[in-house]
Amino acid sequence: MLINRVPATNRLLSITPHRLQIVLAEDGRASLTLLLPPLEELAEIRNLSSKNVSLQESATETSTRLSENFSEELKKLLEKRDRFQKSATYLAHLANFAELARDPEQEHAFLAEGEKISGDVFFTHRRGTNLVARGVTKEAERLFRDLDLEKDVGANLRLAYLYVRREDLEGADEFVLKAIKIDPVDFGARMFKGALSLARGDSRQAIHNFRIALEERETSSLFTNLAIAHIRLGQTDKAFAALKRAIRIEPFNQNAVAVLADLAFVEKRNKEAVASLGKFLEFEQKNPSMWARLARALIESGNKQQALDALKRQASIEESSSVFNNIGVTYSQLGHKQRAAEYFSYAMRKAESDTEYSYRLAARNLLSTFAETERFIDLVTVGKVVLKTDTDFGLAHHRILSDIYTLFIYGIARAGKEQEAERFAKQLLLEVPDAHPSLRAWLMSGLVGALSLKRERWAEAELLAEDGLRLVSELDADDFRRDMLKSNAAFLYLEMGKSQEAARLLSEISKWIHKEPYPTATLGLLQVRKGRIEKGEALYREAMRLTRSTYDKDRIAQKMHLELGKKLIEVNKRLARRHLVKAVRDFPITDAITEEAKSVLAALPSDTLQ
Amino acid sequence: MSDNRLLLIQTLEALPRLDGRYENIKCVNYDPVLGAKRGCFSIVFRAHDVLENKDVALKFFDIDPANLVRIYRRQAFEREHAILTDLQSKERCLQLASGRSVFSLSGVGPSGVGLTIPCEYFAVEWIEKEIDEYFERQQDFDAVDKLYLFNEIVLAVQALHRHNVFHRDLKPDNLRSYTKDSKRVVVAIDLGTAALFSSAPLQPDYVETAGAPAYSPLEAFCHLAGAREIGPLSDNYALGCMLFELFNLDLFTRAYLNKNTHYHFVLAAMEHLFRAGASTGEKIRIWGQNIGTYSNGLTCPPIDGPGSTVPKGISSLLHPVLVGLTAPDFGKRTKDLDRVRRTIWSAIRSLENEHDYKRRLEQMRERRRRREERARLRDLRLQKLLRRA
Repeated sequence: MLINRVPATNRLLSITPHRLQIVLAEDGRASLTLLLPPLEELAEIRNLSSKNVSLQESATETSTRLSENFSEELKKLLEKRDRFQKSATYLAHLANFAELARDPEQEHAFLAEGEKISGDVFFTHRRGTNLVARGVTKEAERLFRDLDLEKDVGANLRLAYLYVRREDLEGADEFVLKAIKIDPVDFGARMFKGALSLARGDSRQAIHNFRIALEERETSSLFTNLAIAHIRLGQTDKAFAALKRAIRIEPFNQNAVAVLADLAFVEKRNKEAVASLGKFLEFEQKNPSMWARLARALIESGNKQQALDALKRQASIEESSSVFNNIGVTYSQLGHKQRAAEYFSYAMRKAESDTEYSYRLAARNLLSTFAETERFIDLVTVGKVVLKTDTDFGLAHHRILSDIYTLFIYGIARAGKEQEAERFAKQLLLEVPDAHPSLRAWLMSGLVGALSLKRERWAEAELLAEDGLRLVSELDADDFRRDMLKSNAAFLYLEMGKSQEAARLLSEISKWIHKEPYPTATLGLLQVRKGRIEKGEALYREAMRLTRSTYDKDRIAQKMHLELGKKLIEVNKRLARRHLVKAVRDFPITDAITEEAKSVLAALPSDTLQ
Repeated sequence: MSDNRLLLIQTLEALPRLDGRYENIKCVNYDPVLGAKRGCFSIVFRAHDVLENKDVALKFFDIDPANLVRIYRRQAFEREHAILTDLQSKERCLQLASGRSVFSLSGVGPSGVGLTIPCEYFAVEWIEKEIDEYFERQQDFDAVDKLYLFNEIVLAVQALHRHNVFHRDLKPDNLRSYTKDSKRVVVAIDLGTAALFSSAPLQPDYVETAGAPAYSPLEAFCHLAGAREIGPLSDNYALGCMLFELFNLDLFTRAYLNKNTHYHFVLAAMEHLFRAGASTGEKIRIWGQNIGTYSNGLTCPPIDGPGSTVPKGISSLLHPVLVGLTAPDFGKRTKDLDRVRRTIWSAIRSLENEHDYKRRLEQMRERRRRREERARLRDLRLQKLLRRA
């Protein structure tokens, strides 16, 4: 039974991870010529790229245009130099225009002049800020240190900022505490303290400070920081609320929108992120990771066609392996398996090497699509190419990429080489004892299923089942292999006549009865064994209806006819023979079952022949 | 500096008398050292009108070749004269001193052939007193004096608005004062970018602001500088900027951009929403539907922030005025300038009445003391909780 259910292509969108920003103050590439790249759609994607607008770029252009205007204003103001050269205000205004005209050196000169004339710390602060912006941090630090740190909140915060830049959070904290002592309600000091607490893992302290800061001023960055603190404490509803406030204040805050999208994904509340992502992308269309997030949210909330559109927009900006992989996943979910396979193949070509994650992820999805479309020869061929590069069984250790081994063995078995598949599975279990639990679980489950039908190997199967059941706790809560293991173990116990153990295991996976074919069929077997033939047959037939492929349906049908045939011998030999003949002639899927049915048939008296 | 412009300046400054009445002609809006010229459409000269025996400003259409081909600039020059004609004998408004005339400027063209350029001009009254010292030397003036001046500035703008004119380039440089009956009267000068409610925009679309960017509101940067319906509100925005700048070392625009680093994003978003070819009415409708969403986070800098000389006791009176006048959404911007003046008078009276001022100051300090105390108590509570945990 190394032909058990295999992992599907679902939910494998790879998105550039978004780093949480805490705002402080803010081929051996295998030549897969059997598959052609989807040329027409690639042309469509390229057309889209010329339509993308970017708010970031527009804002930069606007800012540049304005700086030119301010440069003219500076010239005009300089005409008044004779009249006002000794005035601090005039020099401050000149410095302002120089700053707005992006001329920091000139700005600094005006500030220095103003400082000399007036002695006002306003100029010292501005000069320090100017020096920090120009990277002259030592001089800036000296300047801020010379200010009255017992009274000057701003100077303390600037020094804290410089300490954070050199990653001295302890030192920074001292200055921030001093600032809070001077002014306990200063917005900047509270926000800084909150951000530092967050960076040091003290989320409660962070929330406390952010809340005090919020009483002074509500900003988008502050609400985003607050949301991150709530996320750390597992207070997701509060985090959602804070992120929504942040986005309401500033719909273009990428940090807030990305955190909301990622949180919504983790919490399976993707619908809540779609509107914000849509609004963000209405103006900022040159941000591939945000298109990817929108696509993910749309897929998760069931809007697959819209997701595809979003992914194509992403692909129009960056032609990466990951985006083509994601388009493939979406096509797969829309039922366009052939097109999905083409995109996975294209994604593999787009990867920079056959050892990088995006290549292997696309390969894993391609193999899964081959499995779903029953292209087992292709599956084995491509699988061999991919696994050739995995000389150290590295893939076997990976949570997702270990599926490549699963799919490859499944492909071998379905290509009619079950013995070879069994050998390879056993070899893997033996040679890679520390393979990822999900791979080990699938292999054990498959082997248990295969060996259950061979009486002489029940002992071996039972050991495997016991090992497998011990693995269950290491699997993800929603991993289908947990229940597959229990279902196959239950099947083994039934074959071995251990009905009680089987019933116990089946009760553990009762939620899958009437939903998944194999657990339902196994319960059908239990009922037949208990003599409840009609109930058993009904469950078998229900299981057949639940199957996703003709192969699985015929496989269950064969077992049902064998079991019914065996059970009916005492009651109705003719009917029993009819079932057994069906098991042999109509559904010759599993060799062991066919052989058993033949032998039972041979033992039947000839008067049952029609 | 174009040859045309230079020739005009040299010719006029050397001319003993223009049109039989203007003597001592001197260009005032061009600095030959910096090469900087103020104003877009005109060259301004100070001259003495011998007929009226008073100084006048002669405003010539700028004959720079680039200007000669820009029809709307000539139309703007003509419109300025028409507006000034409408404002004749209106109080607190700049007064015309002559009708439009033409001076024939003779010169030699590039090929050595003599040519004559007709130069249009008109005269307006010369108002001597500049008020920019209140802004560029604000440390030398007391708060009451500044508030009196601001009240006068508001009156000057109200006078224009009352006569259906909006200036669109209000800034300290475009305001002058004179004394009448021992009282200072402020008048807005240079109406080159001004418009009448009833006049049609000279350009189908305003890509740039009509006035100085440092005093122009958000909408003026996104194609709405020509919208008649909202013209006065751009003047009100400039008033807010000037109120701030009377008391702060910073320019309002610098303080605003520094506090709102995403300002350019809001601007770019609004520009993006204004589809190409949309009418002004449609743009105003789009604005109304969207500005609330995008300008939510734009915050007005405090009038009493770093570098401010606002007396603490009246900051609570002045800050709301500043917030109202400079609201990024013109729909929410203060329209009632009488109300602004009433508040300014309250501030003046408070400063002139020591008892009242002390009371306001004490109220403000008390509010702050309470906020600080609340924050300290919360700090203590958290520390206790953390110790228990």
